[in-house]
Amino acid sequence: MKGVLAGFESEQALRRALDRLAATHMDNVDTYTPAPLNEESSGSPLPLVMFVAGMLGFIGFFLLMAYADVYAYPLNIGGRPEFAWPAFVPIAFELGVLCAMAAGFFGYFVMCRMPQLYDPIDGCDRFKEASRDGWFVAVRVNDPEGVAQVRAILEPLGPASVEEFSE
Amino acid sequence: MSHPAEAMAPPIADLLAPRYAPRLDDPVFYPGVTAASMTDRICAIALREKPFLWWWVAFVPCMALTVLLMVAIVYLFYAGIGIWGVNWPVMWGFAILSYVWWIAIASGGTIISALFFLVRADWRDSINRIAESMMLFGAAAAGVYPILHLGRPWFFYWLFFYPNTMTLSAQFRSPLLWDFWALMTYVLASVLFWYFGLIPDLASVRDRARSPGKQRIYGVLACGFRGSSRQWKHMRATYGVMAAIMAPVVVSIHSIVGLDFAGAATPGWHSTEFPPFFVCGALLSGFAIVLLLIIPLRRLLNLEELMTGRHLDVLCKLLLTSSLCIAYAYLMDAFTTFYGGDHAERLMFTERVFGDYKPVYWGAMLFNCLLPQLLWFRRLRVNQLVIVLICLGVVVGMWLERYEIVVTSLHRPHLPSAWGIFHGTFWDWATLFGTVGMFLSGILLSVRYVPIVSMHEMRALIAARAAPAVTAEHAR
Repeated sequence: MKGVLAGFESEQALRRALDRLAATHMDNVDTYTPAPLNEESSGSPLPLVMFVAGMLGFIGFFLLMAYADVYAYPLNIGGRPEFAWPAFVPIAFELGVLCAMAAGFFGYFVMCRMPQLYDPIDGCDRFKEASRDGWFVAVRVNDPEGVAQVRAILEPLGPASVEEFSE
Repeated sequence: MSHPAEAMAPPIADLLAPRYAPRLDDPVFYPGVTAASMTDRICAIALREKPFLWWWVAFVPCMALTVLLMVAIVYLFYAGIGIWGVNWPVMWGFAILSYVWWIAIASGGTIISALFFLVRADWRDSINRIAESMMLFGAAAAGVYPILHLGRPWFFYWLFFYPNTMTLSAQFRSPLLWDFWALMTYVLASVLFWYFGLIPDLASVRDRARSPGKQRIYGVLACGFRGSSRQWKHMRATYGVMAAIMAPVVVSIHSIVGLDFAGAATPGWHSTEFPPFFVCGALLSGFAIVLLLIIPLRRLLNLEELMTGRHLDVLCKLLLTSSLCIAYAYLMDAFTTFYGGDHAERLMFTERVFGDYKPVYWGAMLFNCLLPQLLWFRRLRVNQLVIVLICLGVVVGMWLERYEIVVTSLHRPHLPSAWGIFHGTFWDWATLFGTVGMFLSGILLSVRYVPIVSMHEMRALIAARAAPAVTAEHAR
């Protein structure tokens, strides 16, 4: 598989390139940018994953405490109720939060297939600018004709750099 | 493009030039700051081959204090908590009050980072990393104490709930156990939140690093973040939810710390006011420490263009607001005591104001309520010397407030035959200053090796300001 990486000096220039690529029905287009592009941030399942993990943590630890205090290790303190459910809420909340945070953190790595320390695109000379102020678009194609086609689309747009990579 | 890795330290004369003086009408970053210049400058700090001289001057005493902390801990484990000043009736001494003090400082950092992310405050982007470092090391300093004050620290695992044959269960109905889980959640969640926001910046440092060693270390830490659309999309979504979780967590943990006290029948503690009162205290000390960190760092690291008079002004206003909240809490503390009419409560309060510990009470009043009122004056909100003095006062004042709550309340229990007096011993003070050294060492190490400004958030802000029509409503 071959790829073309084109770098632009501004977000607006990159947007123009993305519009042009979309108009020619190119797929396998990815962007590498120093700050998030202003697309819709929806579409990530991670907030839902975090919510579910948090709720499961809350309910699970609540039930665990109820089991411990009522059934497994009942502790009579001045005749107070063993199923003291309001007192179980703070710990259940905290552990639910911990579950949600951990689910979001580790879920992110799963969703982004990280850690991925090497990618063929790292071989491009200018690619390091993507974490500074370079706005890059990468188009991956299957054949050499596709490379020429992509170049023909991108080069008239005045990119700061165009490089090829193969993976 | 060049990466001026060592072109950092400006001439001294430049630092004193008037353009660096903070002003009330400063923008959140100076015109002329670009994504490239900002990224280069922040990465150059993390990648500097040799630390600055001032860094060593600050780091060596802090490490010495950290060693003192270790000595104090080893001796404590050897000899037991008899080396501290605690005894009947003041069974809770420095360990608890310093724990509360530290957790308050940490909480203030989380509020700045998480709550002001949610309200989209533009001034938060250049100082949130410092606030998060403060949260991390403040929580670490607080985390030292709970194990130490157990008396029999080798049984700490009894706090966990685990199956056993001793019919031994954790007491889930006690706020003290809630506190253990809240602290643990807070420390772990803080680490995750801090590291998650750091990943894109570690990638920036990785891409600027020249030596293979640093490329590898930052490369592994960045986990292969490349700024792809997928990575940004999930990061934005996840970070937003994390911030929305961290803000209530920080309120919950400090409320639970307040309930540690309110749950007991001790005069001066048994009040429903405590949870919100403690949260206000956390805000006050958090804003004070952030100001104490950014005022020297903006000058020493040449970051005046990113941490401007706007930041000082906003933080001072927030400090003033939380000081007013604290003043209200103190007022209500007095009001409910005398309105309630419990004899022991009234006696304890009179002792607090006029008794052996009166300097502590009046010190807290002076430093937490009166001194911050100077910040009503606009000009003083950008006067760095005045701000530093007020903030130092607040830091001391908040410690005095905890002293007043813990020690003064305990020294006058209901039974007059049990009255007593407490003074910290050498080992009490050694542990306190040891944790101060540990906190500052951690901050200094993070200044040295971790990008001190959240570069990706600054780049988004700079891009949004450069093209307001396209991006203003999606600044993040």
